[in-house]
Amino acid sequence: MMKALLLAVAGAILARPPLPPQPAWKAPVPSVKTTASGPRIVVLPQHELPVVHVLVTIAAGSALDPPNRPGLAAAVATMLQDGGAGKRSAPEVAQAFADLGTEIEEHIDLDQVQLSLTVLSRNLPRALALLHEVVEEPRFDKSDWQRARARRLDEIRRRVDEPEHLADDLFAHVLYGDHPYGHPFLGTVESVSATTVDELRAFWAKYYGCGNVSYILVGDTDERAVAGALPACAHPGAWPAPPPAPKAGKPRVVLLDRPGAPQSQIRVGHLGAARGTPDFAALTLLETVLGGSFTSRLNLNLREKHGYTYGARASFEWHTATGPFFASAGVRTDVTGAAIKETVAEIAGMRAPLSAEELTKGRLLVLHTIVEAFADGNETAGYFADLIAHRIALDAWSKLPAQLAALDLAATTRAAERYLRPDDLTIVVVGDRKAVEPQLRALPFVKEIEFVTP
Amino acid sequence: MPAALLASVLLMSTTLSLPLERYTLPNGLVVVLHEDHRLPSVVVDLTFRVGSKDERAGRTGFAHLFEHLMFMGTRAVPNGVFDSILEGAGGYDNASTTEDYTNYFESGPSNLLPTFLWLEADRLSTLPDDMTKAKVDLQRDVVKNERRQSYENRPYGRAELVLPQKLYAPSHPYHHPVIGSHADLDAASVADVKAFFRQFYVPSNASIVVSGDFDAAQAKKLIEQYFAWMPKRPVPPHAAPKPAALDKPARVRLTDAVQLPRVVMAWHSPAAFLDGDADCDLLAAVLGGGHSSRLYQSLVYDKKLAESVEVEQRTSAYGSEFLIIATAQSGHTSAELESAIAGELKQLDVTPPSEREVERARAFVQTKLLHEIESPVQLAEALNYYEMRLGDANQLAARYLARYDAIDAPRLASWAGKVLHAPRLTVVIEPEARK
Repeated sequence: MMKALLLAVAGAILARPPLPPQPAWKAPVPSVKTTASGPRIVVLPQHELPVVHVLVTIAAGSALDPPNRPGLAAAVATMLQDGGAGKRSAPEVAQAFADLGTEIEEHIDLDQVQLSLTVLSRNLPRALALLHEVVEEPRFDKSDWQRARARRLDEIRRRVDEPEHLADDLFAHVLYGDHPYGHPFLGTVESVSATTVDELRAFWAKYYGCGNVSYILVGDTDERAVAGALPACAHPGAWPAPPPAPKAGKPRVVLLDRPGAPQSQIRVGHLGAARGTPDFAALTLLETVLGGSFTSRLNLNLREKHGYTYGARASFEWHTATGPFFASAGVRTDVTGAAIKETVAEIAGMRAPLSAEELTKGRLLVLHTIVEAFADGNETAGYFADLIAHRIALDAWSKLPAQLAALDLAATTRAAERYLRPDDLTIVVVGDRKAVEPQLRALPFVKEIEFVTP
Repeated sequence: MPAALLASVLLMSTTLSLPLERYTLPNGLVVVLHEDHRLPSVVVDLTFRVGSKDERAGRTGFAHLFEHLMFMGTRAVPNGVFDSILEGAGGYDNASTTEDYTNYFESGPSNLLPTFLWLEADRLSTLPDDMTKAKVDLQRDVVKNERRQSYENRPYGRAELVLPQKLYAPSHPYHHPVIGSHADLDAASVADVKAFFRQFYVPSNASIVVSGDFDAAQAKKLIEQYFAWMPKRPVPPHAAPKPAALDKPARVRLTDAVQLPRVVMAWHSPAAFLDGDADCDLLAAVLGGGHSSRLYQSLVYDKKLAESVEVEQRTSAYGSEFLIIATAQSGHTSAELESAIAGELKQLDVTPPSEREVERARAFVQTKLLHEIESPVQLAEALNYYEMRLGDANQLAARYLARYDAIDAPRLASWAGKVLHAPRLTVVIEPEARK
């Protein structure tokens, strides 16, 4: 009796509430100052905490690796952080940053190198001077490179332990071939073993001119405080030419054998778009609906409906030149063929108009992801660094909400028809050949299978 | 960033200004409200004072399995609808389970606040009514896959399963890993779910934090409407074990599908917020916080033995673990690595941390902590963590940074001695022989 009464009360009280209108938001736009020969300085003041996030982005990513030296750009970036600068040895550089309560984190991708740190605002001038030394006066001593090289080689060897990494590297190589986006960014054991300090120094001299360097500061500072802290530029340099547009090849099916693997890593995709595409907003929305959240079509199908995987996703990767589009998942070996079939069907299905709910969901999820990133100064700086590296205006994030709002079903359908092409899909599988090959052969769209070894 | 101001940036008196409204409903639910209007988003974090330490014998892994079942739907919000409602309006959710607590959060545009509160209240009041064996079976499989993916098949993952078993006696509630065993997961039943829910998922065993862009007066009305009607239920009893200790050194050797050997050293250390806990955070930074730390400079720069080294004070409510985790470079053995680490630990007695090292460690730890609570989700979680650990979320502003202020070199040296001179557990993971 008592329980029934309580339940009745609960039923009345726990009615689903109405959803008030969506709050409006516009991303802030930082100030930019470019001196005649100096680095670009981008500042977004935020004075709530006495902390500044500093991120240096250098347009010297792994797409600039010479064809015979994959891994060179990454090696240079590592030696900036871990190779000594000016009068300081590597351990001394680390100690100097530590005295300021901070240390450098390094990131490299196809388009850029990022060095970032977080520092109390009172230590900003000293941190900037040190960072400047690291970028402008790297030592590239032989003994430091020997030490760093040994660790890099271990990192490359350990990558073989991780089927996800094998699948990512293989997919990029199959899709891009000899294009600069097709090689492993850490390099190979052969290329890194052969890399000399002269090559490191020459790469740095060519691509680390201040014209190629941007300092992004988010936090408790302003333009004036920064301008005085960075010495004049000794070494101007110019922006490297963007990589050529990749050419689409014939779709391929490639299998890398991992005997006995309980899971297969699958990658299904084709060339996507360059970051500068006017369809950026539409493609970001489409990738979210297809494979960008828990309730995306791919995850609901492969994980929730079929139980093939712990999670499935899809995305357009954004670079200066055309990046890839692909879906990815780690799936049980015995359902590899079925999972690929469902993935291809979901990609094809995106060419029909979305539901109105999906359009709204995609728009709002994209927006909330950006809102949340802007709460964190380091992530905010990273969002601006990507714009600089991809040669996009710095007001792009503030314009995105209106662009998303302007998308209707006709616009997303047009974008899907152009950028999602089920007949062009390249398929890469890292898994147990004995179990997987018959499953692939049974798929109607698989004509020929190529086999590779790691 | 939270709307917080440091009273001083000189690291003399590092209290945060973090205005909170905190109160308790008659049924025992603690409510913490923190308004911050810089971004149009809001987070709800609901934490229950229950974790793997509260599991009964033969049901290891159950608290975490239960967390998964909280997403399996109710009469009003059937399976799958929880996520589709949230994501359909631009939000997302997640949850986590530790030895001590279970945490659920939602984050999204600020207009979702009423929806977040409704969804949490709905499952807190009606979850068991629609629990079925099929739901338990489904999540049992998901969790077993998680165990395979995160521990059994992850490089070095097996060491994580061994640590608690070797550090704590079988009778200690921290003896088993949070993920549990396959056999115990198999044993979990619908009756277990209902009993666990009735005992632990009661308002008096939880606190709810709302943080972000909302109006406190309106939030209070919503919380009153959704949660205040729930009846008062007894505060469940909790396991409150005494601090554990190793009476002699212990050693385990494992093999794994990895390229490089790894050495893990583990000591018992002071429980969260007890004397010595903050000191252990700084000690971890002195030994392994970044490239300037003692172990990095010695093992990576000087001796070129280690591929990586990490040091961590891993806290829990009834006893913490102080861990050194180092991976050898190829061409070097675990024995070389272990003896080099032991050498540095001996050196710590000969040359205790200098004031300069303590200053660095303090700045390193405090800057990192400040950065962490820039994330709205992490701030809400941190507020609830302080509520759970210290019984008052206001303690975050008072102690989050300031608890490191008074530590000086002699004090740090004394704690280093107390913790590291006790017997330790050493786990060595060797690469499997190549087939």
